[in-house]
Parts: sequence; structure tokens; C-alpha cells
Amino acid sequence: MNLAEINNVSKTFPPVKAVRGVSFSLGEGEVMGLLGANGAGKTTLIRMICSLIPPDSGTVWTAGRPGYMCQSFSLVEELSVHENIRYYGTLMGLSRNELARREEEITERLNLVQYRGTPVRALSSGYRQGLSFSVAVIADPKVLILDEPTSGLDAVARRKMWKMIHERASMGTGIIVSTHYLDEAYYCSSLSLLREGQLIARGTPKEVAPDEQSLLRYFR
Amino acid sequence: MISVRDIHKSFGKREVLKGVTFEMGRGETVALMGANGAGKSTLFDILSSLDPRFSGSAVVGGFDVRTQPMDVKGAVGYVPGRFSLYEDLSVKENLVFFAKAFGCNPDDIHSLSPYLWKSLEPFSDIRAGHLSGGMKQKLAICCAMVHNPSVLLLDEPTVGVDPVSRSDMWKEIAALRKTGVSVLVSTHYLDEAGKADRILFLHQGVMMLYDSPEGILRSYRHNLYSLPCESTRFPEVEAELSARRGVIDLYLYGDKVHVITDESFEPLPVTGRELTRIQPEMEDIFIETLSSRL
Repeated sequence: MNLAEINNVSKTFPPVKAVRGVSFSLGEGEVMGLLGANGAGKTTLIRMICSLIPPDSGTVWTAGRPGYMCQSFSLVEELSVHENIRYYGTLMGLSRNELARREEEITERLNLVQYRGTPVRALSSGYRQGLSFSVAVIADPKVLILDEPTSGLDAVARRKMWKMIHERASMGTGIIVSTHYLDEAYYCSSLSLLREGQLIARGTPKEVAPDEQSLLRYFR
Repeated sequence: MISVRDIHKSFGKREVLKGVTFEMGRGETVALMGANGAGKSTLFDILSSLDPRFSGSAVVGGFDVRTQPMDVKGAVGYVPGRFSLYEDLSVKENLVFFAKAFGCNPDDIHSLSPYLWKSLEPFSDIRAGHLSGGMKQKLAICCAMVHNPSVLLLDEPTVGVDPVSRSDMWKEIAALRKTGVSVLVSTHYLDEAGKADRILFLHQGVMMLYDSPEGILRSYRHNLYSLPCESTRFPEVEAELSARRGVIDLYLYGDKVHVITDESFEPLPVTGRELTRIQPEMEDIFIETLSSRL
């Protein structure tokens, strides 16, 4: 069963044709890597799938509202751990009881219980990483969209992020993840390559490019 | 061009830099590596004379960062981790603004960084706020170079930058090296660190290593094996290897798994696939240093 269907979507920011007639579908437990040069249209496409901006033409369907984590970890820095969880949970329409249960579960799993009242900006980057991911999936979305979740992370933190991504996928969540790390292309179950707003390749990582070096040609 | 002696820096009770000492010569490129929170950005703020509250001394471009901050600012081009652009100005207007602020001729700006400018030029009239993250980074570097600085401080300049543009940025750095500009650049792309003359490895505020890439690669203390593995099969491979004697840690590495072992490890096939003994790359060094299992 498909969890997302993107059908011939286009978006222009005059004079730039950011996305041009892109179609694909996302299956259960699929981790789709979205790759392409800066300005290829990745973020525009992601923002349309999250219905943050409407496409000029074409249709976007997702199974429920997608969870979303943007490039700079979408936490509110001045708010505490508790307040961030409440804020995002309420936005996603969780009930009061459900929210309390979620908060307990998240803070225990991330060892954040003693930091509930701490402003997020005072937390180490490892904690922030775990928290922002947990907040993105707080309402158990069927579709999860991660826009460069590993940008600016060190080599060890990157692998922790991918562990969280794979755990989610094994629960059946369909995941779209953009990245500029070529090695991470091979942590995905499928790849979509964008160039100048168009989908130029789609397939398993090995079908699209047998190794990192050959993956580079899609960026030129 | 940079001379740093015993820098200590605390934020409240938390000591972020715990005695950092190093020298950097003219035309030298040094890559600053370290985990998130290791103290890299704090060091950049001190070297660019933005933060005088530290103990120890730092001389940059021949000037003391505490007593001659204005001279330091003239000698240094600094690209902080967070964008330093005027989002409401166009690409060109940003460049002209920075050129004028430093008293330079705005007409010379295109010649300063030809590799970067090549990809920015089509966006000349677009507002900086509308650029993608990678394009903003390129523009920030061009802006930091308008006054021909002798020292360039780049705090994670390639975050969010695509692989081909990253390689362009390093061509730019190589070109600068030839003109005698000294570059201190932090990065999480460890293939990039290998292109520097020397690597400074910072861990929890302490200098762990300061050596050439070759020297650092030789510092690997264990044996390293590789086997082909799709990420979906990693849990299976991890379960089998974790039960073996001599396995210290293992992790995904592109389309492979890398296994850190000690001498007692026997390289028998895993889930039917052969293990190959390999030489570590920079990323393996980093992971070995930070591995919690060591």
C-alpha cells in the first residue's frame, strides 16, 4: 500500500522553475533518499509534500499529515523540553492524556527526565537531535519527512540519526530524507535524484549508482 | 599567522576550551575537526576577536585579538556557522555592502573567488533570503573575502552544500593557499579534512591531535575490517559480529560495514560474506576516537 502519491507536481518562483512535473509514490517502510545539487528543488518539493506551500499544478496525497523535521532541527530554542513537547503535540492534535503519556515516554527514552524544565538551547546537540526527531514523530505519522537531518552533525551523531530513521522505517513508516552525504544514499531503500526541478533517476541505490563516485554525475 | 597559547574558556561553570595551543603558518590550511559541542565555534569567536573573555593568548595575522581587535578584523575573513548575510539584499548588494564596509572597490569582487562566483552569478539579483542553504554559504564566503584577508576563518562552510560545490569550495581554498592566505576551516566532512595541510582534532575542549592527515591516519590503534552490507541487513550482521571475540565496534559505512577489532579477532565470513582488512580513512579515525566502547 502506498503512503504518499506525488503526481506531476510543478512549482515556479518566477522566473525560477523550482519543481517541474515530478511524480513518484512512497511505500510502507520505504526510506526514500532525495538527492540533488543545491537549488535542484529538494526543499520546494518537500515543502509541497508537507502542504506548507501549494503546487502550481499536479497533486500531492499523503496518508495523514506527515511528520516533518527541517534542516535546523525544528525546536523552539527558548522553550523547555516539556514546553516543546506540549507545543508540537498540541499542534498535531494530540489529546491531553495522550500528550502526557507521550512526554513521559519520550523523556524516559532519551534520558531527559531531569531536564524537562531546561530550555532546549541549553541542551547538548545529542539531546537536541533526539528530541527534535521524537517531536517530529510525536503523532505517529505514517509519512515522515526529514530535510537534511544530518547536516552539521559529526560522524557519530549522523549514524545515531540513521539508527532512529531505520527504527521508524521498520515500524512501517514511509520516510523521505534529503541529504548531501553520498554514503548516506546507501542507507536508503530507494533514491530519487533531482536536477533543475526534474526527477532524473529513481530506483534502489545500487540501480541508480553502483558506488559513490558514479552517484556524483547526477550533481553535474 | 595564527599563534594560540593555552586558551581556556568557560561559559559559567562549563569549561568549553581546556588549554588549546597551536601555531599556523602563512599559506597553511588547517582543518578543525571535532564532535558537535567540542568547542570549535567558541575557538572561532575568540580568533576573530569577537570574544575577548578568555585566558591565554591569541595572535592572528600579527595582531593580538584582545588589544588590537580592529586590526584583527581587517586581517581576517570570518564565516561563522550561522549565516551572516543581509537577507533582504540581493546577492550582488551583499557583496557591494561588504566591500564598501571594508573600504574596497566593489568592482573587484568577482575576481576574488572565481570558483564560487561561477555558480552564484546567475543569482546576482535574487535576494539572499531566497537562496538555498548551500548558495547562502557560498555567498557568505565571497562576502568574507572581499577585503583580501590574510587569514580566513571558516566555521563549517560546507554544511548543506552539495558534493560538487563542496569540491569547488576546496579548489578555492587550494587557490588561496597559493596566494599565501592561511585558512582555518571546521568541517564534519572528513574527506575534506584530508585535503588540509594539518588537522586539529578537538574533543570536549581538549586538543587530541594536531598533525598532518598522513600522521593522523597512522595513529589508528586497532585493526579495521570491511564487508559489503545493505543497511537493511545491518541488524543481522551486528547481531552475528557482536557475539564474536575481539569485536570492539561496528558501524555502517556507505554500502559497507566497518568493524573495529583487536588482535584476538578471527576474520571468518559473516552471514556468508568475506571480511577484508582495510586501511582506515579519516572518518574511521574520528569514530575510533569517539567510540564509547573503547
